[in-house]
Amino acid sequence: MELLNVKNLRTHYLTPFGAVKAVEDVSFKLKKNMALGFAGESGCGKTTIALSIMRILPYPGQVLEGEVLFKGDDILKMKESELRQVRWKGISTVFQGAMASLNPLYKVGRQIAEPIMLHEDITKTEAYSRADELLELVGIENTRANNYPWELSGGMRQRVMIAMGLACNPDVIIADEPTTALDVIVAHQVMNLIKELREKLDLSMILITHDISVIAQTCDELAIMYAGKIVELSSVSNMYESPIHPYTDALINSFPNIKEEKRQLKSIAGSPPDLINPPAGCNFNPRCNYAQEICRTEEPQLKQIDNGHIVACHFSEEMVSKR
Amino acid sequence: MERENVVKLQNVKKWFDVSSGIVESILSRKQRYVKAVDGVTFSIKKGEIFGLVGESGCGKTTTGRLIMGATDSTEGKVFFDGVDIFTIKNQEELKNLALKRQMIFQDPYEYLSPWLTVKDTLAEPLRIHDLVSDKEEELEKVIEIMETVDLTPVDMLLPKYSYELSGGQRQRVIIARALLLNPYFIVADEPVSMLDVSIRMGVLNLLLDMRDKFDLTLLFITHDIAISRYMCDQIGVMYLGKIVERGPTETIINNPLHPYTQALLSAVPVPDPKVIRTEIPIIGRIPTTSYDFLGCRFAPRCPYAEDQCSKLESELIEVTNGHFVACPRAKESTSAH
Amino acid sequence: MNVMKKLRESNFFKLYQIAPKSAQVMTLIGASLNMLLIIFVLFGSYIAPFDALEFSDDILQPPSTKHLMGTDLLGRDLFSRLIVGSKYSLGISLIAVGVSTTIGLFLGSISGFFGGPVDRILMLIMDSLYVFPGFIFVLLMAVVLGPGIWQTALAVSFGRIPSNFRMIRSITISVKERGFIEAERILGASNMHIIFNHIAPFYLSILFVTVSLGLARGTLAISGLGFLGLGIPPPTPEWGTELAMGRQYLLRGAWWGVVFPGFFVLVAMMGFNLLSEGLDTILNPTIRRLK
Repeated sequence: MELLNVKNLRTHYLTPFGAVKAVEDVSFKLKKNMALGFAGESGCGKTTIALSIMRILPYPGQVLEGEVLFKGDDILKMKESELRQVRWKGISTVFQGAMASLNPLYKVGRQIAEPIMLHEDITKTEAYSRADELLELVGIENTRANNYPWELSGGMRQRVMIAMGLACNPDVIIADEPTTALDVIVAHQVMNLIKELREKLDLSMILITHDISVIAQTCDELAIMYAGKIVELSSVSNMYESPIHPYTDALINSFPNIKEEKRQLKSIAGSPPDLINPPAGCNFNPRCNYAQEICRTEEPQLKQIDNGHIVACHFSEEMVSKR
Repeated sequence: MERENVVKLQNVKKWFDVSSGIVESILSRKQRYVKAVDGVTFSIKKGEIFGLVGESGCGKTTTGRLIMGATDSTEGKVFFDGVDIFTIKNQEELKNLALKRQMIFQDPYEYLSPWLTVKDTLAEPLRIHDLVSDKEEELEKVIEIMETVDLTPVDMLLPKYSYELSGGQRQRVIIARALLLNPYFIVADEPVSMLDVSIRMGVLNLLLDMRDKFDLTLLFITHDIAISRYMCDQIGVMYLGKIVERGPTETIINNPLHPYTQALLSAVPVPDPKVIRTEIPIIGRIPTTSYDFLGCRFAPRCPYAEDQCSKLESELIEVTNGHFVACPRAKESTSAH
Repeated sequence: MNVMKKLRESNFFKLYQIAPKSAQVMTLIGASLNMLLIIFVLFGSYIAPFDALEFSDDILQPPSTKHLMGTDLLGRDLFSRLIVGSKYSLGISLIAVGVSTTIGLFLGSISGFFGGPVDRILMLIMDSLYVFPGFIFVLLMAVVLGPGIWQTALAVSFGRIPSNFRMIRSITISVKERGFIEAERILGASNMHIIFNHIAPFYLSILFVTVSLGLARGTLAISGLGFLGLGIPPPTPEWGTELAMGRQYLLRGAWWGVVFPGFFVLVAMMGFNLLSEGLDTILNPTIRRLK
């Protein structure tokens, strides 16, 4: 069953210097119980997708085109009252940098209870006791509900954010760089927690991160983004076994793998593209080792290669045989 | 033949006084310290890349800054080329140290002046030390170093300001600036953590090239153990101000003996979905760096902690050739977990 | 017209273009008024219709086509006197601003950069001086130093030193901790090198505002002193002195003796304040975004 169906999403930031084409024609489906990861360099548009879905784009961002169907209804066309049913209860978000998202003046217990009270028709006592349960769920003693955010460590604050995200029993959770600001060991614990909760609560997840290794260990499917477009999408195992798009291949190979033999790794030449004036044809062509004339003039469309594996590259067949 | 030590640290400590003001010191009479570096001993041999690995707050950056003389030590000695750097008072000598040891920083934006172009930024070290006699020679040397670190096209980049450059380009400017004085020792403090993933390898490979080309000795500070494995010959794992395990990189990666190292390695995400990692459990929270209890500082979180661990802190003991561990358990088992 | 072309291509012009309309208008008006005043200061004696010191028989005449702003008790043309007076009211202000800015820069940078006992002592001194309302302090200094051009300049400059000092000191403190400064130190740069080459550019951003604000306050202070009979002594046609003289004839119905000197002071103030406000908005990125 499809929970989330995004079709041809196009979001631009209309700045005085020109339109920043942050998200260009992005489509994907999220099924129940599925975890979809979005990977790519900073500025590739992955966070903008999340903000567009939740309709919390900062100025001067605007969704210009597309549909975001949540359980069949288009979020982009919803009125404020309908949106309130979707936010927190249908889809909720966990952003990076929990420090900035928690109000330093209120105890954490109250901050978790608040969305519950706003979105569900229960008493204050019930909401607070549910908050306690949620804290236990994320591995924090419920006595901590009486603490202020600054009394907790970074890892604990992130867990509180997760607890808040789960407060209203959403179907989908969108996690944007949930572990970037955290230390390795704490990040590991938080990702394990997210995995556990997904199983326990039947949760679907969209995970946004630049760290492809995290996606490899936690998600079912992976979408590689470049210059606001999805350039490759497939199951995680497929992607690692046979990455087709040159960018995907380069990205996977820029992460040293501790489990395998040490080898020389190569970086991707050039730098992320200017989204106001992206390169003509295939946006990746200036940095691609295999670029030909057609890559500079014609934009490649996403094609199905096999079994849910789609790629946007003029030479996808050749790439398959290479690997 | 034993290579000489470029850098040697002997039981170095750096404690920051955080006792709060007059009132508390009268009332409680107890001084509180953040023990950023609490007794660190190691040496770096010529031509070696030594990695200092640990999470935030473990003291690795402070150690780097101690070696650079950017801060002074509370206790202990730091030897550079056999000389205790904190005994040098002569201004001239101190200035000359800049020609031998340099630093590369984590934030490529903050560590470049917003008022200088690439050309002026790179000309700075030459001007400070009077290394060139005229403008032509200066420009020559600047162009030379830009080509060495692959900061091209040169004429396009020379007049640019730091905010007009990409993160990777800025970091190359920082590296170029450090190399201009021809130092033989460089401290690299998280040089790629703030760079985009796709650019990191380029900068790391550049550093390796430079090491070969200029015969450099490096102290590589990072929280990312996978990167330290890629870059370093020797690794020292730090926890709360002390080195808990030290030795050749491959040895430590393949046979970690300290429970903290094991936990660290098991927590590293692996870019391969087929690998299922063995979980090393860690319990409890990170204690603050105002560590003031007896016993092993990792004991509160250690899954193998015993009675003796809370009473006595273990020193670094050589378990096998060159592999040092600060844990009594290590002696008994040398098999990988 | 090479200057115009250079101006149009400069960074400043780009910032000007994206600034809000209000800032652009303010800057233009302020700049024009200031240009006018500069012309008065430099060429006052030449463009004035009459000699400022020349007596005539047209005593206490109201404004007419001959005497645009009327005449005073001695038949001297007021308009000419006020134009020439710009040299004093503004010119001296300029000197005072130069002095106070230089002292503020010197003491503020040393205090901020080195800290320690020097900083504490200077802060103590400056804080105690800061307590005095600006003009009272200037008044005291004027009384102590006595009348005269240089004495007035010095007295007025003292009024701005504490605030200049504080501004420069706080900029210095915030900049000296920044990464690129540490990098310079590690490269072996001396303290002087760091202050002059790497911290100094940060002073530029507030210098515009400091100078124009200083000129505004300075002019007002000089006129104030002149009005009180301190500062520049007559027969020098300083605006404040003229205002004081004009006040004496007010009861005879000679309103122009008071209105026009005041008008000149007003125009000068407006010029400086508009220019500094406009420039501040254009150059200051945070304010730009908010407005």
